Amino acid sequence: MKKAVLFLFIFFSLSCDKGLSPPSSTSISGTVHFIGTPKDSVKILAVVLVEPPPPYATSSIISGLNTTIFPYTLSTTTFHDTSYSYTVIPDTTYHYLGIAQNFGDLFKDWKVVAFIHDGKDSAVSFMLKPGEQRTGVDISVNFDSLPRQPFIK
Amino acid sequence: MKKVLLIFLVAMIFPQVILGKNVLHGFVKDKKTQEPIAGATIDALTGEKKSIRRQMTKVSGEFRINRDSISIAYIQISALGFRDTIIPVTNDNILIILLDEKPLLGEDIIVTAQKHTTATQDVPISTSIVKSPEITSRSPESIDYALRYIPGVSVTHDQVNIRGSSGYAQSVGSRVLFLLDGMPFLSGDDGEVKFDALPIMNIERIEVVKGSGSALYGSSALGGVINVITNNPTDELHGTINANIGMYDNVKYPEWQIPDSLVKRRFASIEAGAMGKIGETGLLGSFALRRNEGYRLGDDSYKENGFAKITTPISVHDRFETSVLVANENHGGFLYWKDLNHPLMPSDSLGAVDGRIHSLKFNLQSSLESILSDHFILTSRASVLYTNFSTDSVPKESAPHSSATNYYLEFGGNSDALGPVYLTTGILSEYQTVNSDLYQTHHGISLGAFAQGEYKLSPMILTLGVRADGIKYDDSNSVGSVSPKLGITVDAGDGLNFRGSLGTGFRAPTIGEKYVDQTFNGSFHAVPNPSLQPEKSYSTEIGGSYRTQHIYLDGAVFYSLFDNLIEARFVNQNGSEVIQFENLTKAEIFGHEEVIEFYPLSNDDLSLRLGYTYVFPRDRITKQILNFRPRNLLQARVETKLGSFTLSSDFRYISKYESVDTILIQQVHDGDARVDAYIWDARIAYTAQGIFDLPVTFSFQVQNLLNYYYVEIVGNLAPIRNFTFRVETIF
Repeated sequence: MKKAVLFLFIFFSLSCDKGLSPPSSTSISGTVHFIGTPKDSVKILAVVLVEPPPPYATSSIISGLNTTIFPYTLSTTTFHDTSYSYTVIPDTTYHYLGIAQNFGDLFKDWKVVAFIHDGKDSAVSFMLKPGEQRTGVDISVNFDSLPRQPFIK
Repeated sequence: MKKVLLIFLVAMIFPQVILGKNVLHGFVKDKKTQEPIAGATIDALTGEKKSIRRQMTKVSGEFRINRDSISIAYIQISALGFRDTIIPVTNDNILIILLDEKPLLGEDIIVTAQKHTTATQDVPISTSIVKSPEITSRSPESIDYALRYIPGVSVTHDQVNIRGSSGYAQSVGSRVLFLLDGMPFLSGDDGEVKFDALPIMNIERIEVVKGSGSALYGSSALGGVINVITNNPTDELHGTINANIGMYDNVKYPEWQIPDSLVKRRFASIEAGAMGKIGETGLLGSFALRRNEGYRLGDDSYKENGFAKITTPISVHDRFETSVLVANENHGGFLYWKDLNHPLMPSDSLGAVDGRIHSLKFNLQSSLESILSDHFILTSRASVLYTNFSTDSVPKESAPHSSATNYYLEFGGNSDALGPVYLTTGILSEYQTVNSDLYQTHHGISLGAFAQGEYKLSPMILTLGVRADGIKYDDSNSVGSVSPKLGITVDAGDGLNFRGSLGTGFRAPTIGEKYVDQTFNGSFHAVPNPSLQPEKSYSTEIGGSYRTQHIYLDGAVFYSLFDNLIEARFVNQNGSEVIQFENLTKAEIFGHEEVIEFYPLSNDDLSLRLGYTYVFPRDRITKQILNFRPRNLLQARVETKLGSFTLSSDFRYISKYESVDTILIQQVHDGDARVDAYIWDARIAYTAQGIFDLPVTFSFQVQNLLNYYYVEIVGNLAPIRNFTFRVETIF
């Protein structure tokens, strides 16, 4: 009897794969570099990729960010160089890629601590083809010198 | 005429006036557990042990035999699974009779299949019963979770699917009739089951009748009937309290993970209840608080429910029972995932993060069982079910809300006055009112009457029944349905039984389906279709069972035809594409089902159960496989007891849906993603004599042990691996 139960267990275990998995991804990846010390508490630190162009409303940043893709979260305690890989929807234009910090209320207290720009303070847009994996998109965070905020008051 | 009416009224209200008070009254109980034994046959015997009167015990184990004008020397008590017992009749006011067990596997009694207490092997259609210990051992958050382990039953989101009959259709009412203690428990607007409201602690058993059941139950019994039966209060006062605490595991793909600051993934609940008797009046009550932070963003919930029940004999011949249920729920607005790269995130447009859904359910129901004569029992039932939901999404003026009330009244009779023919008859009415911005303001009324005869022609029992229903909404024309049934069982002896049945079912469209008027996702506009017609089904099955003290085998082959199945589809209306419910599908389902239960040891310390169901569900016009019907369903359970420890494990295999709703796929990213499902659960429980000599049971459970990722409906990742620790004590 024990053998039969064991056989069934092994049979079913071996017959199972792991089910659904992320589809072969279209992604942006790179490294986040950190300089300086955060002035406010860091509750969430995340790579954010936003579909609509700025400006954004801080009060709706969560739902605003969610209109594209959920933030790729980073460590909130150590700020060493960290790699990220961000799955995106192909053939979709994203107007803003940056690092956002939540320092208080989840729905209100957000600020951007770095973003990919063209050198003239304008955010760089991205659009990837299906299956494209764009690497080396590095982002530098300087907690001592924060960039212009994309939020409207 | 007035005199006749007066006598009739007196007989209805005070039957003992007519019958006299010379009654043999008693209760039959299990000697080991002290639980009442329902459906036991009580034979009143003369001094020569000749049967002169016969009766069956009720759910409470109670019997009353009128002994006016006869002399009863002995009574013989026979019950399935127990040794026959003969005792001399004494002058005791109330007899308490304790029976020793003599179990054969698979022998049980069921009240749902024939609307009276019947042995399962005397029912011409497949049935399943799951009892309280098995239900509570899984620490379910709601009853739909317990249904997933019943052979032949699957649950797609909140819609129950018996042998592929239902599938899943968005916003379409249940194609399985759901009852609470024999009375309908489907909301008046969208006709859906409110699983979260049911009191898990007070459920004694769940009975499932597989196949069309409208000949007794009317609308909605298209694919079968599920009856949740609550406990009756015990003689001794006792209470139960349990607490559960647990959490969901992490998903293994980094891109799926959500920070703990947004989703904590913990859940907890506490349930407490007590029951007992004051004099002959039984009281029972429980409440439950549940908090689940969810494993997905915007999918947390707060649930509270309370249940109370009173049973009391009004007279020697009348037993009154009433119960009240209140439930409140507040949960997030998660509807569909964002996409398969973010299955734990809600869709931007179809699942709001900030909008919450509030719902309230209230159910009051009463029944009066009156023994009007030695051969006729009248059961009167009435219930009111109120459901309400609202959302606090922004803007407020477009936040959907709906409230509905369903009133039910039934008078049913059971009689063995015709000797070998047992008659079950009844008349009933239902009335619904709906006030909703989704479905507007409407009302509906239905009337029904049924009659069924079971002819005992040993070793066969022939069943013939028919029911007529009429349904009318607002001022529209009424629609009617006549639902006949035919069944046969044969007891071939030595534990071998055969059964065969032909049944019909129908489901009247809900007010929701007929009158929905709502824009979804800002672009899909659903419009009313007041001319919707009832769905119809015709089902047949041939089956058999074999039982010994160690093994129970059951098998059935079934075939069902469905007409006028209601589905949503795009139609062109005034130049624009809108969604409308229409009578679209003619379908057929062929299948077979096998169940094996095996108790290899002389006691119950090791048990195995295996159920396999195969269905071939096809559209008769397009020859396409029907939506949301898994072709293969396998459920296995093993349980063993080692001293104070109990170990059990469940396994379910659900084959991938071959077809799903194309409208849903258009709305949900990666909506077509689906796989076969393999779900393992395992648990261990330890019972100890705790403080103050109270028995305390500690259990630990892992659900979805393999952390297997699958969907039950489009765009919804089913619960990931989770761990539950439970403590329960009885005092």
